[in-house]
Amino acid sequence: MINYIIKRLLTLIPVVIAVAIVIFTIMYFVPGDPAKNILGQDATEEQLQRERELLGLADPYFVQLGKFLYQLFIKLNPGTSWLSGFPVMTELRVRIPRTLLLSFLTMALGVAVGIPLGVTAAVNQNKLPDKLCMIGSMTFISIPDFWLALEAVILFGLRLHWLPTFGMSSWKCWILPVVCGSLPGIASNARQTRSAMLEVIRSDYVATAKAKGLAPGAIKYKHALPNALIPLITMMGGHLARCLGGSMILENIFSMPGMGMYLTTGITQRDYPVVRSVVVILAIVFGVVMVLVDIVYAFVDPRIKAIYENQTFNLAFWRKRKDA
Amino acid sequence: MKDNQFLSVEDLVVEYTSNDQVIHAVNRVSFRLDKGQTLGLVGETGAGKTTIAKSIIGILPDPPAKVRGGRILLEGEDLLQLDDRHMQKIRGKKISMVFQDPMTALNPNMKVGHQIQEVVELHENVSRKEAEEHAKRMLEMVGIPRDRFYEYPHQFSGGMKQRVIIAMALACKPDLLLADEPTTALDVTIQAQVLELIKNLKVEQQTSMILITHDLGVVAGLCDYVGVVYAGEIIEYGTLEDIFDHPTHPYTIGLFGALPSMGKRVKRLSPIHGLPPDPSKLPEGCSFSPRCPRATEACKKAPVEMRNLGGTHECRCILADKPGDR
Amino acid sequence: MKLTRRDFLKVSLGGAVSLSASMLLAGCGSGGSEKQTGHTKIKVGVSGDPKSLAPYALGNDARKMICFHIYQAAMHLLKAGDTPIPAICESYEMDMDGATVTVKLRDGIHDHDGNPFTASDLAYSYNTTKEVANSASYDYFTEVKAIDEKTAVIYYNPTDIVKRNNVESALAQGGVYMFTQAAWEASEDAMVATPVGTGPYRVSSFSVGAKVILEKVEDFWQAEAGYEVPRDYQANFDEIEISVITEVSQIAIALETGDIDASANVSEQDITLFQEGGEHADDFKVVKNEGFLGYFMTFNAHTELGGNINIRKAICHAVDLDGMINTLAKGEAVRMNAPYGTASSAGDYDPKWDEREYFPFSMDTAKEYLDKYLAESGKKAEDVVVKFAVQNNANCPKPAEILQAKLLELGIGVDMKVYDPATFNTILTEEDSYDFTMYCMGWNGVVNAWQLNDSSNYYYHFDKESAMYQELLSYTEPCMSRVTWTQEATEKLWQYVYDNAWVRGLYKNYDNIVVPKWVNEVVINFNRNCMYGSFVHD
Repeated sequence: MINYIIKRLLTLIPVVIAVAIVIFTIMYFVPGDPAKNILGQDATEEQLQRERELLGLADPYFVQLGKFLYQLFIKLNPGTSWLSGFPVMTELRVRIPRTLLLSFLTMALGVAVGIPLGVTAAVNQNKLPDKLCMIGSMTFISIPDFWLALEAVILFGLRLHWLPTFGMSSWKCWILPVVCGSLPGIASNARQTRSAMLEVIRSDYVATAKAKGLAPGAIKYKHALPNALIPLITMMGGHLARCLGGSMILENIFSMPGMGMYLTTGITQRDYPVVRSVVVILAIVFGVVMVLVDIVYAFVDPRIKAIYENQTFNLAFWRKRKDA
Repeated sequence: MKDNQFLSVEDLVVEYTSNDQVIHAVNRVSFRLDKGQTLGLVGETGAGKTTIAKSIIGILPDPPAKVRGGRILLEGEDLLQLDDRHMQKIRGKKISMVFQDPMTALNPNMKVGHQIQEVVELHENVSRKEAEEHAKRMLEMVGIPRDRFYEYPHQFSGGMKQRVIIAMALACKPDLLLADEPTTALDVTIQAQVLELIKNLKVEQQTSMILITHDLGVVAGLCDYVGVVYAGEIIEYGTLEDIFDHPTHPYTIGLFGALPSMGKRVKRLSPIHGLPPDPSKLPEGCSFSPRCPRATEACKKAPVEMRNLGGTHECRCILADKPGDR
Repeated sequence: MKLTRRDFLKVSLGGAVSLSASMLLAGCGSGGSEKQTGHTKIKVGVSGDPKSLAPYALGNDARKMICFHIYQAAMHLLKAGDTPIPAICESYEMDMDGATVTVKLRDGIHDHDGNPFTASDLAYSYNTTKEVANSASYDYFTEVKAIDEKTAVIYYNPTDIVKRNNVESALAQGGVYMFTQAAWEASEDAMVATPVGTGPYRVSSFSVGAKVILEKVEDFWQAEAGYEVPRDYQANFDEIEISVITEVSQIAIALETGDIDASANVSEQDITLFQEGGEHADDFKVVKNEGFLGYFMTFNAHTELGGNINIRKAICHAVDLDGMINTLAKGEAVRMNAPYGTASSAGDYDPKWDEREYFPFSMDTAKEYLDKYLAESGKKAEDVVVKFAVQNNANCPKPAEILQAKLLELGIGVDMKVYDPATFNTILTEEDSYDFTMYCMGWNGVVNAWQLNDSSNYYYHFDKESAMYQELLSYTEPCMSRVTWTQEATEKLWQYVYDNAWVRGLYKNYDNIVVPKWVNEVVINFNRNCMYGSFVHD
């Protein structure tokens, strides 16, 4: 199992490098002149040329690519934002934890509330709890989250004065963004769990469990749910993508500066160092999470664990053969 | 006689409701079983045998299925009147069930030993270690090395899985074992082994058993009594000799006639013509009448009552002769 | 009932008058701020993220606003285009031949940490900024040397020193911020989050991307040393708390909940809540400030349609300025005839230009010019399709759409494409991609504004070999250098450009500043930033 994890983590390295090359190339070819953005509209052509040289944009493609890769991966220096002069690393050090915290809290709430809801709906299929759950999830998947967030701000912040409306000054500030952001996640988790549970509930081993005299609670959570979780775990990867991307909207509305806005302003302003670094970091985060998801699979389904173990490069075995 | 009865099913009626259609799965089934005896329920697929068994242990899927009438008396207590919490105590302890497909009957996510241990911990008042030990002993009893306690179902073959299931079912020494086609999904050699196992365990633990099967050969090897089920009714009931030596109901006769025989050489098997009736639209009279080669007008008019043919042998056919009248 | 140009004139002149009046008032008797009782703190909401507070950083309005509070440059401007007044330096002298500018410092200057500031610090500020900023903006000088404690020499580029307004701009308007060598070397992050300047406020806390708190400098050197403190350097609050609120509708909500007191970034939809008759008119008032960005159009000389004077005039006359202002700005905006606003803008503006009628809106006149073109070229109206490139910035597409509708009425086709700002810049470099453009910018003077010089021909793509271009250059050249510049030369250039319809100014929106009722006067500096610290209040 350890071998498998190590192997997976090692394969991340070429993936991240490939992402770096791709994003570099994309930004290279995207129309828009960073020099003009920096110097303003009334810069002269000479000034623009000079600026491009200073930014390193005058070199040929491969030279620029080489310098970029060297700076990022060997010197571990993402550079400075061209538009603000602020070192990217400093910004990221502050912003990444915010985005990750927001995304993970949102996902966690989505799981903690969505799964029990889905189980309840499945177990009471076609009765009232199920119908309520389905209507609710349809609603929350369809409602745009920014609209919901603003309405929540007006209701809870402005009219009722229960919660702060923006910022990060206290833990209370996190309640509205996390709840609003998790609603679509709760909805889709509930639906997914419900349909997986419905399948599982009809399976023979659930009937066996019932025939053994287990109480309904134990059957649901010990026998049915663990088997229903596998499709849900698959979805988690996509969920994380949605959370990381969608957190930009919440970050913007609640003024919690994270990676989302940083990336999008970087793109519109053609701030290459920012865009490249953030995309590479997102790739790393994503890659690690996917590895974690695969590992969780192994713990949830022993058949998958067996597959992993058979496929790994058995270091001990190889060493033995070498010495022999 | 009722007080000596171990199990008595009286006028059991079970309906399935789906899409506003009512499916009459079990229509006034009655039978009795003594302690230590084995009853074989034979019939085609869809006859209602599994439904009867599931009604006894109380695991009918409630939204579509509903028990509409009758009593199921186990040692005098009507199981249909008990609430689910009481039934949970009975399931696995007094009544156990073994299902048809061993490939899917075990939780793929739990070690097999733990699945046996679970039922022990649930019903017996023992410590965890003792329960584990008990489970390991059960494994040995069914012929599986105790080390394999820690393995997962996917690491076992079909036959071994079925043994595990049997171990699980018998772990708490139930009084009644319901076995729903326990060997149908296994190949013939393994079948024999598993049947042998069941037989031995049954004798050892004095367990009563209801064996559901469509295989008359299996019935011959294990059962004391036989009930032939057709369209949700028992249409013939008796001891093994009654049924095998003196089949009376045209359907039963047809079943035996459809069997390939080792002795004779026939060009074609002789199946029963036609198909079983649509359980949502059962015929008015005898449910077999549309296919019966001996059906009369009277057969089609009204439902037929069970007729005693002497001793334990009963038959639901107005043309059933009294013994000696063949 | 349409508002006439008269009303606009009144508004803009009135604005000019009141601003000048307040500046005159500022001139007298404020060597030391009056003790302000009552409110000691003001909470401000901004929609942009100031990011870095380092003296050399580039940035948005929020950053500039904060930097104007905490830093000073060599000289100071009260109004754009004015003669600079003293700040760090008492005076400056230009040597055109030697291409140097010599500055004389004042006495008693020290920074927020108490370090004394001398000419060597001034030189250090310039040289370090040039080195660290990595930007062509600081190419105009090569280096700065301190001669003695109170004098320093800036070695200019010979080509830059003659450009009109360049020296003033470098010293004050777009100037280098002053800091001491001691503070710079002591700073761990090159003053990105821990700036130390010489201004009336200092940063007491900075949460990246979220909040900046400024506190009054008790021993502000300029007041201590007895110098006059200009109106926009008054420190009338003990503390200014600046919150970054990225979502514009949240700013209105924050004003309502009391999380902030004032903001210049309230959205157009929400502003009515705070104006007369609005829900919150009791607690707030709205002050209008002429905006920085104006809309206008330029034409591409290289293409067949853009290069044809009749087409250009036809398009210019199809601009329904009143319609645009009424529909899009609720009747309140500053008309721009020259491509930069009114008296509150750059220096070579002549108020009498506002008196003239430029390209009056008339579909008939537009049709006349179009017909002239059709007659010359032998084409039909349906065959004419003009390519219209629009920058997607500050709602620029909205007036563009109105213009497009009018042009369609003339019977010609309009291929309008809207580009995001960065792509727009690239499109402008492609000489065949557009016939005319509409975009939105702030301006500094006629020649720079119109890029009508050799090194910046990007909007117009004039053929540099043509006689027409040589003629244009003959008007532009005199205006470029301070040595040859005269107001008449500007007038001639402007007339030439107008006669040939190369540029058509549209209008500038007002910026609305929402302040609480207890603020009596709003102070705006030359760069159109709110100097919150200097607001006069109860």
